[in-house]
Amino acid sequence: MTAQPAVSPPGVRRIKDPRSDRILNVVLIVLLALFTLTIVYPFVYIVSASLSDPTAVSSGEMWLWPVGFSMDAYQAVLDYPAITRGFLNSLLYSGSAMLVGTAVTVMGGYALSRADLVGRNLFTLMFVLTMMFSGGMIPTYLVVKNLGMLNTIWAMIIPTAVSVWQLIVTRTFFQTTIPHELLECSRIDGASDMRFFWRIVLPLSKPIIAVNLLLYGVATWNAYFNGLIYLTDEDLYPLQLVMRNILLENTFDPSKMANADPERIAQMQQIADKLKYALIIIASVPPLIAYPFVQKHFVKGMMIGSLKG
Amino acid sequence: MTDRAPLDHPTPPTEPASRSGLGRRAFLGRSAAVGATSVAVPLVLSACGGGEDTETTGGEDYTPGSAELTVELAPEIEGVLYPEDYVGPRARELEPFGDGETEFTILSQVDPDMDLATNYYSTLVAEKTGVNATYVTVPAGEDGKTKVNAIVAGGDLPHALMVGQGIFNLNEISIYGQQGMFLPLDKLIDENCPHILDMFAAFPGMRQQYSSPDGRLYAVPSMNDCYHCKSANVRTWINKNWLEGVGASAPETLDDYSVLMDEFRAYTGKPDGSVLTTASAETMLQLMQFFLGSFLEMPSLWLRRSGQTLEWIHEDPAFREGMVWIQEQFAKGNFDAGILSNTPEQYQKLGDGAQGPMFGMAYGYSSFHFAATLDYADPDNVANIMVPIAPMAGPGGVRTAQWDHFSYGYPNFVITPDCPDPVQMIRWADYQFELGLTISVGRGEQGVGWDYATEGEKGIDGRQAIYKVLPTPEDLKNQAWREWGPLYKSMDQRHGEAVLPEASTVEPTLYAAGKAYEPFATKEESGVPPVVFDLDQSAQIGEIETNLEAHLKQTIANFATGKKDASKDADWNEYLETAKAIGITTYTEIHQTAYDQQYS
Repeated sequence: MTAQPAVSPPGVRRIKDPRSDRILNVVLIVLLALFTLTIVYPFVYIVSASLSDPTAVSSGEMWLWPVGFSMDAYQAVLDYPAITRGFLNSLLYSGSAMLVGTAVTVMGGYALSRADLVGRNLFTLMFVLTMMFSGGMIPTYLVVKNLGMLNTIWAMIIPTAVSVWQLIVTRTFFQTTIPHELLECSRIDGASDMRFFWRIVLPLSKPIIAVNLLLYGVATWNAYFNGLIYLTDEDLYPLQLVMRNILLENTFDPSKMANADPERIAQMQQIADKLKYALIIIASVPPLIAYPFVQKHFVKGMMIGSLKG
Repeated sequence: MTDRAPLDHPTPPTEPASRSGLGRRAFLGRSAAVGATSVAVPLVLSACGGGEDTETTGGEDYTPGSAELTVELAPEIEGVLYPEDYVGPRARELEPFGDGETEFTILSQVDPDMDLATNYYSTLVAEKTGVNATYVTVPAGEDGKTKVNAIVAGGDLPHALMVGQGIFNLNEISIYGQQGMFLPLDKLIDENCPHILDMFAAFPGMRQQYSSPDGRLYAVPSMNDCYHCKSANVRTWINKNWLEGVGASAPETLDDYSVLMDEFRAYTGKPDGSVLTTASAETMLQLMQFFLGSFLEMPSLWLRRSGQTLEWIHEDPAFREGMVWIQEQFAKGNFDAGILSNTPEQYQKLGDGAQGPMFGMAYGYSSFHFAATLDYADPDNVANIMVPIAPMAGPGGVRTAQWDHFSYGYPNFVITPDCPDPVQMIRWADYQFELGLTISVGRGEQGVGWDYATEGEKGIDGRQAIYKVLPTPEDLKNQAWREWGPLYKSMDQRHGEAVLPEASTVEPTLYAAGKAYEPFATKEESGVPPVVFDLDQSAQIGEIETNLEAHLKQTIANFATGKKDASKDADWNEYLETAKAIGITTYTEIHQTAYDQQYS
């Protein structure tokens, strides 16, 4: 679509595309441009807002480019040790969850993909059941507590280590991309199951590994709820929880409060206004850095896994 | 960005409580039901939690007030000034009593910039009481509530919890208390807490008001008897600059209001894109109630009391008259259509307009509702341009505003059966009902954040001040506990704060607002005092109220946009009928039953 004559300068003679094609091109370009704009604009807005004077932002004066350029917001973010700490914690949690989750999912997915696994359907059913029924918050909390994971990094990694959805996508990926013949060949050559998995399957599965890494990484990066209920030590809070505390505390309903101090609310609101956009930027940077590296695998891995399932 | 991943979002439990460990398990079901008020989970109430130390709590037969006090009031500090007829906490010499060895854990809410381990007030309290306490912290508000429910369900109960302002209300405290999750405090207080008893003596209704239906007190109430809060629910503000611009004074009647709105409409000095009267969708019912107060007395949005009978206000013809008037204001454009849809941010955007606030009249509990960039020290800031406007007289001469006669504060401090020494714990709370600590809890160190006032300094109410708030250096953080701790802020104490000219504080403005509203206060006899519900009732009440609110907002939107007409009987009756279908009758009956139980 990029080099279509719909946008070629007048006077250059070419073989004409059919009229309907040209119209279609114009329509598509306009639609896609609008679509892109809806994605790019909020981002530009937030970047600009984080670099503007908060007054200009809250009065609506700033709508595209920064007004009253200042780095104060970023300076203020640095003044909050909780934010830096949360950022590092989140990196650690996401990094670990990404590795643990992917390892377990790829191994589990492969096992489930093998037709000769005894009780394959039963295992699959057990996994799928958890997509429909969950133990609920308090029972899950009790399990985590009794495993001694409260207030440890493990509470952030183990309870959500495997996503069933991703496990099924991974299983389907193996079923469709690793032909049974390959296993037979390897067996004839004397490879054990371990060796086959390690030397043949894994090298063929880069797309699905990349996709799993990314999805687990992003999910953990964005998660706050487990942190909220499992962590009591503020030094362990992930960035999202710190952000949530700062940004959501000022939302407040006058009919449901008992004599709250208006000055405290105003104060919390001002902190939130000052930090809001800079925080959003900071929290978005790691996923933004990660996406380009995984993108080329993304389409392949995700599509193969899901569509042909 | 804050999307929850599917795995990360467990659903509340729906299983019924099992028989073993009833107290704790039942709590699980309860916490879920309270979290999602729309689900009523039928559960058996256990009569008593068992394992309760009857020596300290007096057991079931204890009559509140019957035990002898074994601790004396601490001696007063000389030289602190009090206004005449002062009722409230006094500055006292506190002698540490704690053994310093027993380790207590106390749960508190915190704001993100606080760290209770190193907080100044934490160290001050430790020094004054000698009690060795560590803190378990949860975020403020809904998140904190979720977490407290998880902590309590997990069984690792801290020894005491400060659950006021947003974690547990009196309903919840009563339910958990009756289950044995919290200790009854009557005997502990009667024997060990001269300062708390001093407060109960000064406010005779207080103890009863914060006791549970079984007659026991499970939580030490924090007093925050806030004068301006009494009218805050309907407080509305007017743009002083526009008033000056059109040369008018604040309207006294709804007729004046109509004239004023026409003048505002024609006024050329207002910023582009301005609207006349507005609120956010979230606060629209408060604004409506402000205006409805000019048609009939509305002590709350739904119910009023005549004698011992509670009744639904909306069937009163005067209420309908008010709604017809509101409908006309939307049609004329006096009420901005944005009222129906503004998010809180959009609403604040109007207030923060670069050329001054972009509305003539606006609702706000305090200024933070309608503006985010507040500076009380700057006369040209929105904080000083918007001034409170008193209720206006309606066509029938009615001129009222909702006045909360009943809230002194909120139940706050509970002790759990896991506490190794409830006496030390309750005395720890008791000490904080002393003046110096009650100021420090909000302002930090004496001499830095605040100090006692000198002769001649005037408090907010113009009488002799007791203390003054010093402008704190900006780098001084983590000094106070805000309002999470035990508090004894009586009205006199609150008004004893000296107003320094350089201080940026909203309090004097709000005090003036309170004064403007008080003459038109709804009568105490027509208000419904706070009542306590059991679990099923509170779930039901929560659900009905949510639905009624949605229905009323929808109806106002229909009237405002001309889809329905409040002056047509068919449309109006449809509103009333739907409200009945939602359950306004049940809502009234539940309130009536609870009221009869507690007040007659």
